[in-house]
Amino acid sequence: MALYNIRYETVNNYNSPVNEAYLNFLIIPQETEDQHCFNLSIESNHKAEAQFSETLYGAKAALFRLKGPFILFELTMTVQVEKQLWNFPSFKNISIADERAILEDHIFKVKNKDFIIPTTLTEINANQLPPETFILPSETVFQYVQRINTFLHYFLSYEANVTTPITTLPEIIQLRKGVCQDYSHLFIGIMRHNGIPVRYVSGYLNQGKQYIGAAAMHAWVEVFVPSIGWLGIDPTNNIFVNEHYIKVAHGCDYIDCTTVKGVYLSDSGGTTSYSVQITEQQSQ
Amino acid sequence: MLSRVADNLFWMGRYLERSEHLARFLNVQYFSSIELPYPQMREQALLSVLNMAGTELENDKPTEEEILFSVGLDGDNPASILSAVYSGRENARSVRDSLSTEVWEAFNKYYLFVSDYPVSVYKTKGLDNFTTGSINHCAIVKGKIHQTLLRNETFHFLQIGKHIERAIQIIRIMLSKMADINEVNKLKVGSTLELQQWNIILDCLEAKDMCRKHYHSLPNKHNTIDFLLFTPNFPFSVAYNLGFVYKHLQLINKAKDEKPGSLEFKVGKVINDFRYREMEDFKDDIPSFLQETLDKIYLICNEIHNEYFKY
Amino acid sequence: MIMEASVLKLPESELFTDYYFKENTFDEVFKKNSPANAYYNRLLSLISSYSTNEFKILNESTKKSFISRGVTFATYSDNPKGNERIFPFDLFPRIIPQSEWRVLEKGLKQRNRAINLFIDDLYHDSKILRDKIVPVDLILSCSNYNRYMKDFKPTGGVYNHISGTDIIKHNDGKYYVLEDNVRCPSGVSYVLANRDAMKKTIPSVFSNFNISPVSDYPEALQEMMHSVKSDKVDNPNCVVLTPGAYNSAYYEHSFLAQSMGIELVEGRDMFTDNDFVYMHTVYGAKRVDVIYRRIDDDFIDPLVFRPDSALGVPGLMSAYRKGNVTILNAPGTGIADDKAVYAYMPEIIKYYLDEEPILNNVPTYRCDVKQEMDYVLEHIAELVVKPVDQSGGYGIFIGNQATQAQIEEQKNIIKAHPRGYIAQPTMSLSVHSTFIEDENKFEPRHIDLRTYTLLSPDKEFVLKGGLSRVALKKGNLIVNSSQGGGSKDTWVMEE
Repeated sequence: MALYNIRYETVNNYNSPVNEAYLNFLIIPQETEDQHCFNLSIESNHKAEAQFSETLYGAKAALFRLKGPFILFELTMTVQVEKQLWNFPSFKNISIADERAILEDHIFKVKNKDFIIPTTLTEINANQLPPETFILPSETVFQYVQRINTFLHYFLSYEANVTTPITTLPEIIQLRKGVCQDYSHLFIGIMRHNGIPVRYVSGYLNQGKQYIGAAAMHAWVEVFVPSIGWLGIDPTNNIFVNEHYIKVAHGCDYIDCTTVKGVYLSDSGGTTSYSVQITEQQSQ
Repeated sequence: MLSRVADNLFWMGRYLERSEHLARFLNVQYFSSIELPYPQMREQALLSVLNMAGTELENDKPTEEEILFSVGLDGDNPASILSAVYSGRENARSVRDSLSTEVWEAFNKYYLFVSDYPVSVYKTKGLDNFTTGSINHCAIVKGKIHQTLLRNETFHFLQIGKHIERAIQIIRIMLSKMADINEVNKLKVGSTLELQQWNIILDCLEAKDMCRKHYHSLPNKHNTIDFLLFTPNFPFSVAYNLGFVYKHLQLINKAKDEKPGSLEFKVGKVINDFRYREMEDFKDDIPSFLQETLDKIYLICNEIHNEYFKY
Repeated sequence: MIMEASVLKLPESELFTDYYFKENTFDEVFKKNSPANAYYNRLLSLISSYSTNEFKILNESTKKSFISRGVTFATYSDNPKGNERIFPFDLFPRIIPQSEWRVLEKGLKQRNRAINLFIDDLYHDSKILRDKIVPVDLILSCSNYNRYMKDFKPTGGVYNHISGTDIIKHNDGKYYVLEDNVRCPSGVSYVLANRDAMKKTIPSVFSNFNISPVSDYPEALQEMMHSVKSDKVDNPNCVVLTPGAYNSAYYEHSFLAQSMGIELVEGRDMFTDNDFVYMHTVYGAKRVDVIYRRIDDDFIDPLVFRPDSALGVPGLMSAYRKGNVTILNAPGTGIADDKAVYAYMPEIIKYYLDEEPILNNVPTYRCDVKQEMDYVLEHIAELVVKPVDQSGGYGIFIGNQATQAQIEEQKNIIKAHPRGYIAQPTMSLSVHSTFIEDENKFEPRHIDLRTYTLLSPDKEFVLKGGLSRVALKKGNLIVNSSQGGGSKDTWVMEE
């Protein structure tokens, strides 16, 4: 069992007074089989209370409806998360042919539609993809997923400020640089191109482990491996997702998991900053 | 009622009233200036129309046609009659479902009359036809408002807009004409012409006959100003219109309690203060008093906006 | 011309001089080598009693009445203040005999009920896909699928509350459904405005003919809106949501609100709080329970769909999914008016209702099916090619009117994006005598029929008649108002 203290802070300064705004935060760790939250606290400098709702895929969102005028919005979330230790996944014994049949099954496709259909951010033509990114007839999905994970780790080099969260795949492939969102989007694009359901995940990463991307909110993916089920993979760090990953939300792509979505009735522009702290408590 | 709808109704009432005053002022000024003996005074009369409408032309020495076009049918001049009717009709269009079909169609016909009016005819020989036509259309729209609307918020906000705008226009016309009179006095041509100017003010506000009846004498400076400002029972006096603004605000306010600080309280205070003023208090500087009253009316508009039109 | 005219028995009136018969086309009024359709007789004798000049005057005064009543749509392309145009109106009404209408009405109820079940199924168990009646790939690739509707059942189980089904009469004399519009079908206000104009222009006809009224539509619409309110409210606050006074269909939005006596709201008039929807009124916030929205799915909630949309209400989808407000039509109904789905409509009706479809479907080729695309590419000159996700007559390619270069271009377009297109044989829309202003006489022009069906949980209503749209340009087959079409009053009449 791992136990974390998580603190998320954001400060939004506006150039001129905002009269009305809706701010929707996706920052609260999701309740899942292997992760539980305690002592959740959300505080802000505004009298409005957070209104909680669930996203389409089960994440917990906090919505603030802010009545102005205001020029500053500050928010702090703290929470403790208990996370089960990760074990290497257990496999069902399925032949490659059976695996492919599962993926091709029309009922399976209907069920996983959202994670098979490319979105604007994960769309790519076959001729734009490097040839080694296609699944080989002799490969299991698990082998393929691992191969692509490693491939991406070397194909892209981690560099901040060259892309934005909404940079498209052809641009990323051309740049061969990016951050966790770009690694994840490209991974998703490749998988969906081969008919394998895959979803984008946002969350926190233990800051005590020298992982790439731990300083801010992190992004990784969950891919459907027929012999296992949904499997967490972090292409940025080229590893399986383990107990150091605290999931907040998953969705089709970045847009579904945007940390803060704001709608302003008077848009004056401004500056936004945020910081996260994830510290592991020594468990017994 | 939606706040936005209330806002649109208020402005529909204002633009409707504004267009009427612009048309009448233009008509009276133009036709009264024709018989003026001094060319400077004719020029002044036309410039006064621009001034009253709040229009500035790039050209310092505009021709008569330029002035007439600018104040009447120039769609690019926000202070023209066409623009006022267009804006009023756009506001009406936005709240079309709150109005009766009759009110909407009357307003739409007014707009079509103005927007389809041939510019060349207007500039050369159609001025009287255009302005009296506009005034008549206004009367029809107002008649339809009175005849076909429920006495609910729709009606009240329309009336508030109308009365506010009329109070404003009365003062603007007075200010504008007093500037004219100043110019006349500079020419030192005798008091007959000054008296004539006071008569014109009354004509601009369809007030001459009633003013004579009220005072049982011919109009002069004192009774003209007194009549247009304070007569409580004359529809084109400031006091009358402010009184109706207050009355309709009370009808809208369901709570009916006028706590200090409430909108009705504030408006009531402005109006009562105004009602008990006397010419004696400000006779040395009438324009300043008029300007001060105008500013108070604008404050009332702000208060109404904050109370009802925020969305 | 004279040869052709001689085969028709035309009224003795200069208005019908040189009226001609269009080969391979069904004329709604006249028949080759036999008398005109009997149900038009009285109307024909009435129209022939006018001189050309009298008829012209009537026509002009009707146009004027539309303008002064503001029954217009605006275009803003060439003038920032907007050019207001009237939707051209033809004074010769189209008659649908009661016997034909009864079948149409039954068929419309059947078809739209089936569409409702289809949409519900797609957002829940997808049985129709599991049973392989409709191919999965069709739905997977449908751009109008709305994942926020998955596993959500709207109040009363109704999705396509208002359906606009477009029907034509082919040269075989049979009605066919040309397309289903189950997002925000428009035009119904013109049906009522046309009837009004007709009454004012030629009042005598209404006392002599037994014509089904159309004025019951607002009441039916309101009743339907009440029928899908949440159980938690007794007296629902229903509103019409418009993009605003600058929308080209604004007249219709305000007409609908006014005729039902409910508020016409814009997005900025509303807000959400704790998953309830409110509107700003002069007395503070008031709850909104049922929203008839006339804006597209993408724009209704900037927190969920297009974040740049200023037309919608942030938080609306969340309130909707909590069941605190009803939106009609439901988001995501567009999957059913995808034109590739249209191809399966007969199967869809059979599947859900276990009934034979009453209305005919036009045979449809899906370009994303290899053999069908091959057929389309080979026979493109005889086909009509349509984009699957557009309405309003946009992007339609008519093979027999295209040049060789246009044909090649269209083939490339299809090949680049097969799922984006379907093709159908060129249907011959029927023609109807229509007054042509430039000619001062009647000429045959192509028409179709936009019908309006309302669905409540336990009731269907079909507006009697609908909007007969006329392609005013000679030979033109596209009747949409955005493409320069006009309309006719449409009478459902006892023979």
